[in-house]
Amino acid sequence: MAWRVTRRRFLGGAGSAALVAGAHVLGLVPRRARAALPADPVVVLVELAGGNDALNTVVPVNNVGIPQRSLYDFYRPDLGIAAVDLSATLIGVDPVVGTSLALHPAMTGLVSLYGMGKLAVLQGVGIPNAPFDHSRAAAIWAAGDPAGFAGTGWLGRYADGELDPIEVPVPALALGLRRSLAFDSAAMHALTAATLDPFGLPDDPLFPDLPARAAAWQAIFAADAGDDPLGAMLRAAGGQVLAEQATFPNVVFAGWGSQLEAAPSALHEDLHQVVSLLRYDQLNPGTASGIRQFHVVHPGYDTHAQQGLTDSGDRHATLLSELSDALSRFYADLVALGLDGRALVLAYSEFGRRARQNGVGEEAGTDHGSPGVVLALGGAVVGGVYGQMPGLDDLDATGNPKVLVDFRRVWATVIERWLGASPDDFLPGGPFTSIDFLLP
Amino acid sequence: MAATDILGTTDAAHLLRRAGFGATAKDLAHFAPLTRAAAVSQLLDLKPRRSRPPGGNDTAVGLAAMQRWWLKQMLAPKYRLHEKLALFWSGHFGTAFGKTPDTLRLARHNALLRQLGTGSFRTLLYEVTRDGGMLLFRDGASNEQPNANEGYAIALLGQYALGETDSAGAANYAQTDVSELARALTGYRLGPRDQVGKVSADAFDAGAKHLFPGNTAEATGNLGVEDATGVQFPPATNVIDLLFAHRDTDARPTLARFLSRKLFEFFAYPAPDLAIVDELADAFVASGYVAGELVRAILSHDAFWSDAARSSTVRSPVELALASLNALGAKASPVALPVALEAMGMSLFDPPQDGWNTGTDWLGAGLYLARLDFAQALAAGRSGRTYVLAPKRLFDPRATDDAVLVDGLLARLDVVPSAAGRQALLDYLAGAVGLDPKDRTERKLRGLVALALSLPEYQRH
Repeated sequence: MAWRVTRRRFLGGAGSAALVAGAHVLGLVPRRARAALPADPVVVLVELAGGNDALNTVVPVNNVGIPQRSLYDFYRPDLGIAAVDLSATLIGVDPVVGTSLALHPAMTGLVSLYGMGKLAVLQGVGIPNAPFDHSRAAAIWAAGDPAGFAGTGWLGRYADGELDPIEVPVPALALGLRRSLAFDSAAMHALTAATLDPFGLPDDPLFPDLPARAAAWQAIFAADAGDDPLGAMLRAAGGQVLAEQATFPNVVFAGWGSQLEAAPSALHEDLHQVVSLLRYDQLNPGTASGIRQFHVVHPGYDTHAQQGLTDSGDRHATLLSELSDALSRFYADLVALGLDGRALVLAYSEFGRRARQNGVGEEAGTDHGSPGVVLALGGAVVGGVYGQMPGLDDLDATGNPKVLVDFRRVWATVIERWLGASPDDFLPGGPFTSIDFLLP
Repeated sequence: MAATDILGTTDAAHLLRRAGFGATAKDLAHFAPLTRAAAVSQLLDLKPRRSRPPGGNDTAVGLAAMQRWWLKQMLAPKYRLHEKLALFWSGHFGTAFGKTPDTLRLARHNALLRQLGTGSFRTLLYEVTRDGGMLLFRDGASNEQPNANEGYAIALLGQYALGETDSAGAANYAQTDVSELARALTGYRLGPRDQVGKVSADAFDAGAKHLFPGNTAEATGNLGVEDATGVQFPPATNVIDLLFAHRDTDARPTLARFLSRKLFEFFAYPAPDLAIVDELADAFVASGYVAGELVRAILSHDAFWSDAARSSTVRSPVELALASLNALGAKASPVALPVALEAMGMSLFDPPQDGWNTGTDWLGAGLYLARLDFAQALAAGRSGRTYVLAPKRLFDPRATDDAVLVDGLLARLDVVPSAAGRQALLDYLAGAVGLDPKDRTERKLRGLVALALSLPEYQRH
């Protein structure tokens, strides 16, 4: 576990919070090398759960370099998006082989952000020898380790090592019913919530008694659990609810002009909560939550059948349309708040899907495969297409395009060029070469 | 029979928490004098019910009505273990409204789980494989030759029958097995009004397949079933038999181990020793893979009654809510309860695709807040539109000793808080000094219930 040298280990134990805080003040901890990085960089993970079909997200338009388009038509007689339907969503050429590329026609919002240079499209990214099992593959992405999840996630390790637990008591928030394994850490201070709105302690409306109850809860959750990990975890979860009462009940969600407020999808609602919290923190430094890592899940990408093409209502088109619309509205909110330079959005999926469609006609779908496409969005992102679209003339034994970029290179880039830390401290198997969608 | 075989109140409460949804005072009085075997038999050995979906076999009702219906079944005492098992199966198969918003098919699917859930697991797997709800949920209804889709095959292998890896950590199947199995399962078609898939020879891939090379379950051939005219049909029964023949690296039956471990963890505690799993798997195999017999073996096993099992798991939202209602003699409005469960992360008929949460996944901090909300709403229940709780039935109105009131409530809820937690409840009640009796009851005694239900110790069982 040599790669898990955390700052607190360096300082000689997790018990001395005051020492940690003091060390930070004394400047013993190298914060970040570059002045250009924001002081409190925000990472928003958008997990496209189920295995997003990369080949219909970024589509080959012609045969320049390799006959991608002909092979695409060959493998996908019913699921191939016609070149003529791609004219409005062209994003330029593959930087390695020169094939013209387009986003799915439903992704018009992201295409315009691409045109503004704020969207990076990372091709051919995946887990080497990926398992085609949803939960295992998703756990590997979260762990940042192809060997699988072993107790901590890549951002959790970063938080353990680099974030001051006094300054940032809650570094991360997962919106949904399950915690994000990416945030799992030794300190376990990430928050999971189905919703932040509402987030106030309950009282009896007829016979209000909140101060007395809140005091009782404080005492209950502060009690020592002794040598009982489950008991300690339960108390910590309860204590965190109380701690968040300083922040979440005061966050203004409705009516501040968010582009996301119309909220046509659950993804919109989740991102609306994220940006509302960022706005609250910006306006209220005294009671800011300090949360800077977010994980939202956009489910439904497991399109084994009836994947559909480009009509509204088609399964994959609906998902990509929601994604594109929600991300572009989210970005518009960030710009309006002046936060676009502080936030980096990464949309990724546990794996991609098979080159060859299954089924025929309207029933056609795609099975689990690899690799995927990662979308990076933000004010600091250097827009463009990165990496080569895996050749359809070079499929592996399972009928899948080959993984050309180890997924850890994406995480390493974020750690090094966005969070200003050393990737090798938090990712096993390195060193990894960063990708230029963020400036060095 | 040894005297320790008589349950007594503590063990009866443990059994009814795990094999049901908690206990009323009447339940405890009934079960406490029974032996373990008699108690388990009373829960398990019941005449099969004719399980009808909420709207009947042909009428779809909305999701909310389905949820109300199921909660009513869970609160009825007689078939509590069967309902608990139906809840297990709903998570095991993961069939969810979110993916398949066809409530009639989902309701029939659920009725199937309830009807067959204590019987032969082989029959259950076969019927689930061709069930209309499942064929839609895992896209099996679109699985046709020549381009099979793997949606159901990968779930059948990894989630329903074998698990991904065996006890030695070796993969139970390869990607080729998924593809071959998907081909072998082609050929079910589902008409708009069909309850089960109809086999269709022209959709079936009759070509040769090769499954599980090197394993006891290895099979070659087209794996189809021939009718009188020589036409090949999809072979779900044959294929499912292969899964039962599959062996772990150490030659033990993969499926029996997989289901034994999963059911043991559901009823008893997480991560049991392999020796326990193997004892249970042996009993499961010996019974001819009857799920009810596996449940009996688990509930009769010393490990289930051991200290390791007590308070070892986090209550799921439905366990928390129904156990609270039972213990407090409270009533919930059929409208309020499903909404509270959803906020706590458990929307019945709509589990996450890979199954219900387990353990601490139920309790991210935000989800804990939903539990405080539920505790408060129940404690404040004064109306049939939400909850009805009568403090006078819980607390002796003449009692003046706070410790008597607090300890009485904790005993009723069968929860032992930390010393500091108990003291916090006493301190809270001390704030009632000088209040008139009505205020004392409505403010402090109801508040006491809200606090007790939100104790961290009460979130586990």
